[in-house]
Amino acid sequence: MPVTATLDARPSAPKGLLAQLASIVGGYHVLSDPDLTAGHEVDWTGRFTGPTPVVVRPRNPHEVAAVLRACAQYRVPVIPQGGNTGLVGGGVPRQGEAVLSTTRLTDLEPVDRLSGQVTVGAGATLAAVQRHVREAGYDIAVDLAARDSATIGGMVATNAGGLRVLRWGPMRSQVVGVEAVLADGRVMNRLSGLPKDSSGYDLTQLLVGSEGTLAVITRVRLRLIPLFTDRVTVLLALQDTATALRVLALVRGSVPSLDSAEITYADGVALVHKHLRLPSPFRTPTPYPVHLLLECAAQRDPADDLIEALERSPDLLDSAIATDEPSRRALWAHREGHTDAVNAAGVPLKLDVAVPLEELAAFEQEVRGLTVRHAPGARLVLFGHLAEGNYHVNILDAGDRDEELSEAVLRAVARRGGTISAEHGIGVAKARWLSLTRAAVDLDLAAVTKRAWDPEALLNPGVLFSADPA
Amino acid sequence: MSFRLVVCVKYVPDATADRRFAQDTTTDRESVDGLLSELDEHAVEQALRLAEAIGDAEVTALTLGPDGAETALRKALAMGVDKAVHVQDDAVHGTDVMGTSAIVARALELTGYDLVVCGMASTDGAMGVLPALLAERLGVPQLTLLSEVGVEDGVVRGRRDGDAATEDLRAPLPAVVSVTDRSGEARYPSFKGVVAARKKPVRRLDLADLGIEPGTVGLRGAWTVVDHIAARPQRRAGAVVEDDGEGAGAGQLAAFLAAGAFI
Ligand SMILES: Cc1cc2nc3c(=O)[nH]c(=O)nc-3n(C[C@H](O)[C@H](O)[C@H](O)COP(=O)(O)OP(=O)(O)OC[C@H]3O[C@@H](n4cnc5c(N)ncnc54)[C@H](O)[C@@H]3O)c2cc1C
Repeated sequence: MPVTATLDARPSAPKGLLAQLASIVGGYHVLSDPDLTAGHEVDWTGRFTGPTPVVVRPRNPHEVAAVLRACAQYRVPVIPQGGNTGLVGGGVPRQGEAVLSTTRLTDLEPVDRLSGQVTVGAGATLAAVQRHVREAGYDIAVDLAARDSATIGGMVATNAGGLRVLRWGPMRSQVVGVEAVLADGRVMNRLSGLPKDSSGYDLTQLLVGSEGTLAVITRVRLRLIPLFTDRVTVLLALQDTATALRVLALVRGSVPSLDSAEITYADGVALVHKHLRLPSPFRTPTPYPVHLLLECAAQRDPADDLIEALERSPDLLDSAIATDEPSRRALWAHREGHTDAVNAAGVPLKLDVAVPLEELAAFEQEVRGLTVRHAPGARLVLFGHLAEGNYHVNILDAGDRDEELSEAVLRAVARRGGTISAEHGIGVAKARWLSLTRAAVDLDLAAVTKRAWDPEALLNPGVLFSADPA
Repeated sequence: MSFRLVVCVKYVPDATADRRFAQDTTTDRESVDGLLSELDEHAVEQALRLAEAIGDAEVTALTLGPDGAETALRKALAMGVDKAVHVQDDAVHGTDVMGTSAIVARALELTGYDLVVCGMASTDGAMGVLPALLAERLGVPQLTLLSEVGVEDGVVRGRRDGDAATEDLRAPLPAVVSVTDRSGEARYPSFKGVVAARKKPVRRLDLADLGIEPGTVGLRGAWTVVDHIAARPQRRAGAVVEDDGEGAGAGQLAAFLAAGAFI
């Protein structure tokens, strides 16, 4: 028998498995050529990567079940992968697992106008579902910048958040039913979407945020919201974080159409202005310390409500208001440009944390202090979703202090009763820190739950559970 | 008397939305949101800066347009303009640029002006000739497509950046100028501005007020006639390669690329 030696020893799948997978989904959808699997082996950030012997692309839930049965039979672990936009390394292979790509599970059922719900394939992208439901006069409450690639299944698996959580909650609040396939191929169907159903454990919600460790989600039933016609966006110039919280409280209590409250700081804003060559939205020569972007959406122009709420606030140093589409988009650029501007400035250390709102102002100061202490010369760019106390902590030029600084920040989060992952999930990136914010009893229950669903530990090994806790 | 600046603005359909035509070949304004033309925001900005520089000056925003055009005036007022004039008359529907310039020139004569500031072109019609037509009808000098403008001692000065040269220009007042999108970023309205705008006066005028015969404007009075409108044909769908599940599609794709000399 000829022996082929390659320098880069790639994992290989059992021969029988490949043939069996081909008989289920057709050979065309079983990828084992490294050129074809490459795109599935590295994540969006480029930080997480690993080899896979096979990527398999089933077309429907039956094929998913058969694929999982085949992998179980050969004891090959499986990584469920959607749009591969996850930011914590949970959707890419690590050491030779098979990748189950959901990107062909794209069926969209008609919008159910009576219940205001829709059932969609887990592999449908957010953008495709948005287009689909908007034609029926509805919208989906969660929106995020990765909409063209992120899949509904991936968003459920990570309990994605985004820009409108303040009013509508994260993905968890939108999911009214799921269909999922267990590691042994059994199918759990909870798609009825009944708004009321108090008959025991809510397994649907258990799958939200499970990050592919319990089952492969194949279909999702979503609650929809009305498609709003009128929006107003304002950018407020403020003195500090405490003031931003005071303004938020004022608006929250009196303007029910409030959708978004996004906070940014002078240094991040300066980076965005430089990167996008944007002029400042305000006419003063010296930049303001804090920008708070608020957006309201309604069926009738909500601008007056917002102005009335804020008109007499002594906290506004300045304000910029936009109601027409081009001006609104221009204002949003000052916030949405942050991710790109930071990436363009270097490879950042990225943390996605949240603390209780009463801790937020002090936490901000603490993070600034920690950065200076642990990595002098590093650049900290903070921005985030104010109403959830959710900061995206980006640190540039931390050099070899990355780990040390991560640990210091995450410990500070834990001390203040916060979470080490607000909306991106735990994946492999944060698994070793989970014990900072979860008690032993929580972790025990989680481990037992995992064994109950996936006793052979075939689904997404390494995610959520760490062999090496901090 | 304060220096009188009049900025001419247009209410246009949102260029980022799907625009349609009505039965009578005019733009269907009902089907899309309207707004203050982005290019005219630069004109408002320059008028406000001139007023700030001059000190004793008053800025009026002037528009000719349907009821909804008040939205555009409100934005200009919120940005800091002092008062507005809205020329509105059902007979104006379908007016071409010759008619528009006649009406706006008449309105300018009525309100009075020392300097008229226009945008470089509308974002819907995009002709860019209105400032020149206005100057001609008013019998005053015009400095068009300026990227910088200033007023001093009865003279308006400006810089025009062309492809081959930069011209420094000047003309005696009163005059008409148009400014480009490179003249400076337009400010956003602030809360204070929006609240203050509510109390600012908007004067409404119709053709009778201006002494203009309805038959000379509108679709009937237009110098040019649109005979027919057809939507641009959709881009052809192109060739669709269906795979048989066995990968035959790949061969067809390769053949297609080879045939088109793409590979
Ligand atoms: C530019 C950009 C902006 C972003 N903005 C936000 C934001 O504002 N808010 C936010 O919350 N996130 C954001 N994200 C993160 C990311 O988009 C979300 O985590 C998204 O939910 C991941 O979806 P996906 O289909 O790409 O999943 P993948 O990356 O493919 O997978 C993510 C995880 O879900 C699991 N998974 C995927 N599909 C299934 C399935 N069908 N069944 C079971 N498990 C599955 C995977 O195993 C993996 O653990 C952003 C990402 C980018 C690149």
